[in-house]
Amino acid sequence: MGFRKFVQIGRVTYLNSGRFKGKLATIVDIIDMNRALIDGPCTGVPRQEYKFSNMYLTKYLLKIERGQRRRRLRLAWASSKVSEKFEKSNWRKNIQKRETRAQMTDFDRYKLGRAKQSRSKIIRTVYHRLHKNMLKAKDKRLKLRATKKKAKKEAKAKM
Amino acid sequence: MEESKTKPKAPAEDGKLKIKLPLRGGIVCFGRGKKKFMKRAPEFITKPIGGEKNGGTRTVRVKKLPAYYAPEHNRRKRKISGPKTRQRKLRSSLTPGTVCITLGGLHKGKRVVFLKRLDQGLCLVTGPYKINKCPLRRINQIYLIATATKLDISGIDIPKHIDDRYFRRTKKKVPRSKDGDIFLKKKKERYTPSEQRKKDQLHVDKQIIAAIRKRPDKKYMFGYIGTNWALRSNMYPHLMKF
Repeated sequence: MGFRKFVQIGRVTYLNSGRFKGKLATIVDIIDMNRALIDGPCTGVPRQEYKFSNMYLTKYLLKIERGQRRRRLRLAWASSKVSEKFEKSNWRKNIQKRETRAQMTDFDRYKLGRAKQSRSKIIRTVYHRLHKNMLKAKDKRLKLRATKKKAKKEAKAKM
Repeated sequence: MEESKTKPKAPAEDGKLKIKLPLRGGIVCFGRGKKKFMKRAPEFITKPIGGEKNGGTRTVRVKKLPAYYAPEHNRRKRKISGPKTRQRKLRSSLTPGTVCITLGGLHKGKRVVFLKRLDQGLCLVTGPYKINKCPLRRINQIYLIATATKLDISGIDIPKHIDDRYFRRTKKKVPRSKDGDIFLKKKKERYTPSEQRKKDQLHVDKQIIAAIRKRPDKKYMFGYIGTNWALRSNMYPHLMKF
Protein backbone atom coordinates (compact mmCIF):
# COMPACT_ATOMS: atom_id res chain seq x y z
CA MET A 1 0.00 0.00 0.00
CA GLY A 2 1.28 3.40 -0.90
CA PHE A 3 1.16 6.59 1.06
CA ARG A 4 -2.22 7.85 2.00
CA LYS A 5 -1.44 11.08 3.76
CA PHE A 6 0.26 13.82 1.84
CA VAL A 7 1.47 17.28 2.58
CA GLN A 8 -1.12 19.22 0.64
CA ILE A 9 -3.38 22.23 0.89
CA GLY A 10 -6.18 21.48 3.30
CA ARG A 11 -4.38 18.65 5.12
CA VAL A 12 -5.23 18.74 8.81
CA THR A 13 -2.16 18.31 11.00
CA TYR A 14 -1.61 17.52 14.64
CA LEU A 15 1.01 19.82 16.11
CA ASN A 16 3.24 17.72 18.28
CA SER A 17 5.81 20.26 19.30
CA GLY A 18 6.23 23.99 19.68
CA ARG A 19 3.99 26.51 21.32
CA PHE A 20 0.75 25.07 19.97
CA LYS A 21 1.57 21.51 20.89
CA GLY A 22 -1.42 19.20 20.99
CA LYS A 23 -3.62 21.28 18.70
CA LEU A 24 -4.99 20.71 15.25
CA ALA A 25 -4.42 23.01 12.32
CA THR A 26 -4.67 22.82 8.56
CA ILE A 27 -2.08 23.48 5.94
CA VAL A 28 -3.00 26.59 3.99
CA ASP A 29 0.16 27.00 1.98
CA ILE A 30 3.47 25.24 1.58
CA ILE A 31 6.45 27.51 2.03
CA ASP A 32 9.33 25.16 1.27
CA MET A 33 10.60 21.69 1.95
CA ASN A 34 10.59 22.26 5.66
CA ARG A 35 7.78 24.64 6.47
CA ALA A 36 4.13 25.20 5.78
CA LEU A 37 1.70 27.99 6.47
CA ILE A 38 -0.86 26.62 8.86
CA ASP A 39 -4.05 27.93 10.36
CA GLY A 40 -6.46 26.60 12.94
CA PRO A 41 -9.38 28.98 13.17
CA CYS A 42 -11.47 26.66 15.32
CA THR A 43 -8.65 25.41 17.52
CA GLY A 44 -7.01 28.65 18.54
CA VAL A 45 -3.98 28.38 16.31
CA PRO A 46 -3.19 31.64 14.50
CA ARG A 47 -1.97 31.63 10.93
CA GLN A 48 1.76 31.00 11.02
CA GLU A 49 4.58 29.06 9.52
CA TYR A 50 5.29 25.72 11.12
CA LYS A 51 7.94 23.10 10.56
CA PHE A 52 6.91 19.79 9.12
CA SER A 53 9.07 18.12 11.71
CA ASN A 54 6.83 19.60 14.40
CA MET A 55 3.59 18.18 13.07
CA TYR A 56 1.92 14.91 12.24
CA LEU A 57 -0.34 14.55 9.23
CA THR A 58 -3.84 13.30 9.96
CA LYS A 59 -6.18 11.52 7.61
CA TYR A 60 -8.51 14.50 7.48
CA LEU A 61 -8.53 16.77 4.46
CA LEU A 62 -10.42 20.03 4.03
CA LYS A 63 -11.60 21.26 0.71
CA ILE A 64 -9.98 24.67 0.59
CA GLU A 65 -8.03 26.82 -1.77
CA ARG A 66 -4.41 27.74 -1.43
CA GLY A 67 -4.08 30.65 0.99
CA GLN A 68 -7.73 30.41 1.91
CA ARG A 69 -9.05 33.27 4.04
CA ARG A 70 -10.06 32.56 7.60
CA ARG A 71 -13.83 32.87 7.17
CA ARG A 72 -14.05 30.18 4.50
CA LEU A 73 -11.56 28.07 6.36
CA ARG A 74 -13.70 28.18 9.45
CA LEU A 75 -16.74 27.16 7.48
CA ALA A 76 -14.88 24.28 5.87
CA TRP A 77 -13.57 23.13 9.23
CA ALA A 78 -16.98 23.26 10.86
CA SER A 79 -18.79 21.51 8.03
CA SER A 80 -16.29 18.65 7.88
CA LYS A 81 -16.45 18.22 11.69
CA VAL A 82 -12.75 17.58 11.96
CA SER A 83 -12.55 18.41 15.66
CA GLU A 84 -15.38 16.05 16.56
CA LYS A 85 -13.97 13.25 14.46
CA PHE A 86 -10.55 13.65 15.96
CA GLU A 87 -12.01 13.71 19.45
CA LYS A 88 -13.53 10.29 18.87
CA SER A 89 -10.50 8.78 17.17
CA ASN A 90 -8.17 6.19 18.65
CA TRP A 91 -5.34 8.63 18.22
CA ARG A 92 -6.94 11.01 20.65
CA LYS A 93 -7.65 8.16 23.05
CA ASN A 94 -4.01 7.18 23.01
CA ILE A 95 -2.96 10.74 23.70
CA GLN A 96 -5.31 10.88 26.63
CA LYS A 97 -4.05 7.59 27.90
CA ARG A 98 -0.51 8.88 27.79
CA GLU A 99 -1.51 12.01 29.60
CA THR A 100 -3.32 10.20 32.37
CA ARG A 101 -0.39 7.85 32.78
CA ALA A 102 1.99 10.75 33.10
CA GLN A 103 -0.25 12.28 35.75
CA MET A 104 -0.30 9.14 37.85
CA THR A 105 1.32 9.25 41.26
CA ASP A 106 3.29 6.47 42.85
CA PHE A 107 0.25 5.23 44.75
CA ASP A 108 -1.84 5.25 41.56
CA ARG A 109 0.79 3.19 39.81
CA TYR A 110 0.66 0.69 42.64
CA LYS A 111 -3.12 0.49 42.44
CA LEU A 112 -2.92 0.03 38.69
CA GLY A 113 -0.48 -2.81 39.19
CA ARG A 114 -2.85 -4.50 41.61
CA ALA A 115 -5.76 -4.05 39.22
CA LYS A 116 -3.73 -5.60 36.44
CA GLN A 117 -2.84 -8.48 38.71
CA SER A 118 -6.45 -9.22 39.56
CA ARG A 119 -7.48 -8.88 35.94
CA SER A 120 -4.89 -11.36 34.78
CA LYS A 121 -5.89 -13.68 37.59
CA ILE A 122 -9.48 -13.71 36.35
CA ILE A 123 -8.34 -14.31 32.81
CA ARG A 124 -6.02 -17.07 33.91
CA THR A 125 -8.67 -18.94 35.88
CA VAL A 126 -11.12 -18.79 33.01
CA TYR A 127 -8.45 -19.89 30.59
CA HIS A 128 -7.45 -22.83 32.74
CA ARG A 129 -11.03 -23.91 33.16
CA LEU A 130 -11.59 -23.85 29.41
CA HIS A 131 -8.31 -25.59 28.81
CA LYS A 132 -9.18 -28.32 31.28
CA ASN A 133 -12.56 -28.85 29.68
CA MET A 134 -10.94 -29.00 26.31
CA LEU A 135 -8.48 -31.62 27.47
CA LYS A 136 -11.25 -33.63 29.04
CA ALA A 137 -13.20 -33.55 25.83
CA LYS A 138 -10.13 -34.58 23.92
CA ASP A 139 -9.53 -37.42 26.31
CA LYS A 140 -13.08 -38.58 25.92
CA ARG A 141 -12.76 -38.46 22.17
CA LEU A 142 -9.61 -40.52 22.22
CA LYS A 143 -11.10 -43.09 24.51
CA LEU A 144 -14.11 -43.39 22.29
CA ARG A 145 -11.91 -43.86 19.28
CA ALA A 146 -9.90 -46.50 21.09
CA THR A 147 -12.98 -48.47 22.04
CA LYS A 148 -14.22 -48.29 18.49
CA LYS A 149 -10.91 -49.53 17.16
CA LYS A 150 -10.93 -52.35 19.65
CA ALA A 151 -14.42 -53.35 18.64
CA LYS A 152 -13.37 -53.33 14.99
CA LYS A 153 -10.38 -55.53 15.70
CA GLU A 154 -12.49 -57.98 17.63
CA ALA A 155 -15.00 -58.10 14.87
CA LYS A 156 -12.19 -58.78 12.37
CA ALA A 157 -10.79 -61.54 14.55
CA LYS A 158 -14.18 -63.19 14.77
CA MET A 159 -14.49 -63.17 11.08
CA MET B 1 72.42 73.57 77.01
CA GLU B 2 72.66 73.86 73.35
CA GLU B 3 75.59 71.57 73.21
CA SER B 4 73.88 68.92 75.15
CA LYS B 5 70.96 69.04 72.75
CA THR B 6 72.98 68.72 69.62
CA LYS B 7 75.36 66.21 71.01
CA PRO B 8 74.21 62.69 70.82
CA LYS B 9 73.62 61.01 74.05
CA ALA B 10 76.60 60.66 76.23
CA PRO B 11 76.79 57.87 78.71
CA ALA B 12 74.56 58.71 81.62
CA GLU B 13 75.85 59.13 85.10
CA ASP B 14 74.93 55.68 86.18
CA GLY B 15 76.87 54.26 83.25
CA LYS B 16 73.85 53.07 81.35
CA LEU B 17 73.05 54.27 77.88
CA LYS B 18 69.78 55.91 77.24
CA ILE B 19 68.83 54.78 73.80
CA LYS B 20 66.04 56.11 71.76
CA LEU B 21 64.03 53.51 70.05
CA PRO B 22 63.91 53.49 66.26
CA LEU B 23 62.22 56.57 64.94
CA ARG B 24 60.79 55.12 61.82
CA GLY B 25 61.06 51.82 60.18
CA GLY B 26 64.70 51.18 59.45
CA ILE B 27 66.03 54.51 60.72
CA VAL B 28 67.87 54.33 63.96
CA CYS B 29 68.86 57.44 65.75
CA PHE B 30 72.17 56.25 66.94
CA GLY B 31 75.35 55.79 65.02
CA ARG B 32 77.69 52.95 64.74
CA GLY B 33 79.93 54.26 67.54
CA LYS B 34 77.17 54.18 70.06
CA LYS B 35 76.26 50.66 69.26
CA LYS B 36 78.91 49.25 71.48
CA PHE B 37 77.01 50.45 74.51
CA MET B 38 74.10 48.32 73.62
CA LYS B 39 74.23 44.86 74.87
CA ARG B 40 72.69 42.45 72.54
CA ALA B 41 71.34 39.19 73.73
CA PRO B 42 73.50 36.39 72.35
CA GLU B 43 72.09 34.63 69.34
CA PHE B 44 74.02 31.46 69.76
CA ILE B 45 75.15 29.52 72.74
CA THR B 46 77.31 26.52 72.96
CA LYS B 47 75.81 23.52 74.55
CA PRO B 48 77.45 20.39 75.73
CA ILE B 49 76.06 17.36 74.04
CA GLY B 50 76.34 13.69 74.69
CA GLY B 51 77.63 10.97 72.45
CA GLU B 52 81.16 9.87 71.82
CA LYS B 53 81.83 11.17 68.33
CA ASN B 54 79.80 14.31 68.50
CA GLY B 55 82.53 16.78 69.33
CA GLY B 56 81.31 17.50 72.82
CA THR B 57 79.70 20.84 72.15
CA ARG B 58 77.45 22.44 69.64
CA THR B 59 76.44 26.00 68.91
CA VAL B 60 72.75 26.32 69.00
CA ARG B 61 70.45 29.20 68.34
CA VAL B 62 68.95 30.59 71.48
CA LYS B 63 65.81 31.41 69.67
CA LYS B 64 64.77 28.98 67.06
CA LEU B 65 64.20 30.33 63.60
CA PRO B 66 60.58 30.22 62.64
CA ALA B 67 59.53 27.17 60.72
CA TYR B 68 57.09 29.17 58.68
CA TYR B 69 57.55 32.44 56.87
CA ALA B 70 54.35 34.04 55.78
CA PRO B 71 54.37 34.73 52.06
CA GLU B 72 52.33 37.80 52.68
CA HIS B 73 52.47 40.29 55.52
CA ASN B 74 49.42 41.15 57.50
CA ARG B 75 47.33 38.72 55.66
CA ARG B 76 43.71 38.98 56.54
CA LYS B 77 42.11 36.01 58.07
CA ARG B 78 39.05 34.78 56.34
CA LYS B 79 36.01 35.46 58.31
CA ILE B 80 33.82 32.53 59.04
CA SER B 81 30.37 33.88 59.15
CA GLY B 82 27.50 32.14 60.73
CA PRO B 83 27.36 28.91 62.61
CA LYS B 84 29.49 26.02 61.46
CA THR B 85 26.69 23.79 60.32
CA ARG B 86 23.81 25.41 58.62
CA GLN B 87 20.51 23.65 58.65
CA ARG B 88 19.26 23.08 55.17
CA LYS B 89 15.78 23.92 54.17
CA LEU B 90 13.36 21.07 54.30
CA ARG B 91 11.73 20.31 50.99
CA SER B 92 8.22 21.69 50.96
CA SER B 93 6.85 18.36 49.75
CA LEU B 94 7.94 16.73 52.99
CA THR B 95 5.23 17.29 55.53
CA PRO B 96 4.27 15.13 58.49
CA GLY B 97 2.44 12.10 57.19
CA THR B 98 3.98 12.09 53.72
CA VAL B 99 4.66 8.65 52.35
CA CYS B 100 8.25 8.67 51.12
CA ILE B 101 10.46 6.33 49.18
CA THR B 102 13.82 5.74 50.79
CA LEU B 103 16.77 5.70 48.44
CA GLY B 104 19.63 5.04 50.79
CA GLY B 105 20.60 3.07 53.83
CA LEU B 106 19.60 -0.34 55.00
CA HIS B 107 15.96 0.17 54.18
CA LYS B 108 16.34 1.57 50.70
CA GLY B 109 13.45 1.04 48.35
CA LYS B 110 10.92 0.94 51.14
CA ARG B 111 7.97 3.21 51.42
CA VAL B 112 8.02 4.91 54.77
CA VAL B 113 6.08 7.60 56.58
CA PHE B 114 7.71 10.92 57.32
CA LEU B 115 7.00 12.01 60.88
CA LYS B 116 8.94 15.18 61.56
CA ARG B 117 12.23 16.92 61.31
CA LEU B 118 14.72 16.62 64.13
CA ASP B 119 16.85 19.46 65.44
CA GLN B 120 19.96 18.45 63.54
CA GLY B 121 18.02 18.55 60.29
CA LEU B 122 17.53 14.86 59.76
CA CYS B 123 14.12 13.45 59.06
CA LEU B 124 12.38 11.10 61.44
CA VAL B 125 10.65 8.31 59.56
CA THR B 126 9.00 5.05 60.38
CA GLY B 127 7.85 2.12 58.25
CA PRO B 128 5.67 1.52 60.25
CA TYR B 129 7.73 -1.37 61.56
CA LYS B 130 4.75 -3.66 61.70
CA ILE B 131 4.07 -3.25 57.98
CA ASN B 132 7.48 -3.12 56.31
CA LYS B 133 10.05 -3.64 59.06
CA CYS B 134 11.44 -0.16 58.89
CA PRO B 135 11.76 1.10 62.47
CA LEU B 136 11.84 4.66 63.72
CA ARG B 137 14.87 6.03 61.97
CA ARG B 138 16.68 9.18 61.08
CA ILE B 139 17.38 9.83 57.42
CA ASN B 140 18.67 12.71 55.39
CA GLN B 141 16.07 14.28 53.13
CA ILE B 142 18.29 13.76 50.08
CA TYR B 143 17.60 10.06 50.41
CA LEU B 144 13.85 10.52 50.38
CA ILE B 145 11.46 10.89 47.48
CA ALA B 146 8.30 12.51 48.74
CA THR B 147 5.16 11.12 47.14
CA ALA B 148 1.89 12.92 46.73
CA THR B 149 0.29 10.45 49.10
CA LYS B 150 -0.16 11.79 52.58
CA LEU B 151 -1.54 10.24 55.73
CA ASP B 152 -3.45 12.37 58.14
CA ILE B 153 -1.31 12.12 61.25
CA SER B 154 -2.11 15.53 62.64
CA GLY B 155 -3.14 14.27 66.05
CA ILE B 156 -0.29 11.83 66.43
CA ASP B 157 1.79 11.76 69.56
CA ILE B 158 5.50 11.28 69.01
CA PRO B 159 7.26 10.88 72.36
CA LYS B 160 9.31 13.96 73.13
CA HIS B 161 12.37 12.03 74.11
CA ILE B 162 12.79 10.83 70.53
CA ASP B 163 15.42 13.26 69.36
CA ASP B 164 18.89 13.14 67.89
CA ARG B 165 20.35 12.01 71.18
CA TYR B 166 17.97 9.09 71.27
CA PHE B 167 19.43 7.75 68.05
CA ARG B 168 23.05 8.34 68.90
CA ARG B 169 25.24 5.31 68.69
CA THR B 170 26.49 4.02 72.00
CA LYS B 171 30.10 2.99 72.05
CA LYS B 172 30.94 0.30 74.47
CA LYS B 173 34.30 0.67 76.10
CA VAL B 174 36.00 -2.64 75.97
CA PRO B 175 38.64 -2.98 78.67
CA ARG B 176 41.90 -4.32 77.38
CA SER B 177 42.38 -7.76 78.64
CA LYS B 178 45.80 -8.17 80.18
CA ASP B 179 46.52 -11.69 79.15
CA GLY B 180 44.05 -12.08 76.30
CA ASP B 181 45.15 -12.41 72.73
CA ILE B 182 44.68 -9.11 70.93
CA PHE B 183 44.38 -10.88 67.61
CA LEU B 184 41.61 -13.02 68.89
CA LYS B 185 38.55 -12.51 66.78
CA LYS B 186 35.86 -10.70 68.62
CA LYS B 187 32.38 -11.98 68.45
CA LYS B 188 30.23 -9.68 66.41
CA GLU B 189 27.47 -8.35 68.53
CA ARG B 190 24.10 -8.20 66.92
CA TYR B 191 22.11 -5.11 67.41
CA THR B 192 19.14 -5.60 69.61
CA PRO B 193 16.79 -2.74 70.22
CA SER B 194 16.29 -1.66 73.77
CA GLU B 195 13.02 -2.10 75.56
CA GLN B 196 12.47 1.63 75.37
CA ARG B 197 12.78 1.59 71.60
CA LYS B 198 10.44 -1.30 71.24
CA LYS B 199 7.94 0.49 73.37
CA ASP B 200 8.21 3.70 71.39
CA GLN B 201 7.96 1.82 68.13
CA LEU B 202 4.76 0.17 69.20
CA HIS B 203 3.37 3.46 70.41
CA VAL B 204 4.03 5.26 67.12
CA ASP B 205 3.07 2.32 64.89
CA LYS B 206 -0.28 1.94 66.56
CA GLN B 207 -1.21 5.51 65.81
CA ILE B 208 -0.05 5.43 62.21
CA ILE B 209 -1.84 2.19 61.49
CA ALA B 210 -4.96 3.72 62.98
CA ALA B 211 -4.50 6.66 60.62
CA ILE B 212 -4.25 4.28 57.66
CA ARG B 213 -7.36 2.41 58.79
CA LYS B 214 -9.35 5.60 58.62
CA ARG B 215 -8.75 5.92 54.91
CA PRO B 216 -11.30 4.56 52.44
CA ASP B 217 -8.49 2.96 50.42
CA LYS B 218 -6.91 1.36 53.46
CA LYS B 219 -6.70 -2.04 51.80
CA TYR B 220 -4.47 -0.66 49.09
CA MET B 221 -2.62 1.56 51.50
CA PHE B 222 -1.39 -1.32 53.62
CA GLY B 223 -0.22 -3.12 50.52
CA TYR B 224 1.35 0.04 49.13
CA ILE B 225 3.46 0.73 52.17
CA GLY B 226 4.25 -2.94 52.52
CA THR B 227 5.77 -3.30 49.06
CA ASN B 228 9.12 -2.08 47.91
CA TRP B 229 9.53 0.47 45.21
CA ALA B 230 11.59 -0.32 42.14
CA LEU B 231 12.24 1.03 38.69
CA ARG B 232 11.35 -1.07 35.72
CA SER B 233 11.98 -0.65 32.04
CA ASN B 234 10.67 2.53 30.47
CA MET B 235 10.41 4.22 33.84
CA TYR B 236 12.30 7.48 33.93
CA PRO B 237 12.31 8.86 37.46
CA HIS B 238 13.04 12.41 36.35
CA LEU B 239 9.91 12.39 34.21
CA MET B 240 7.71 10.58 36.67
CA LYS B 241 5.34 12.05 39.15
CA PHE B 242 5.51 10.63 42.64
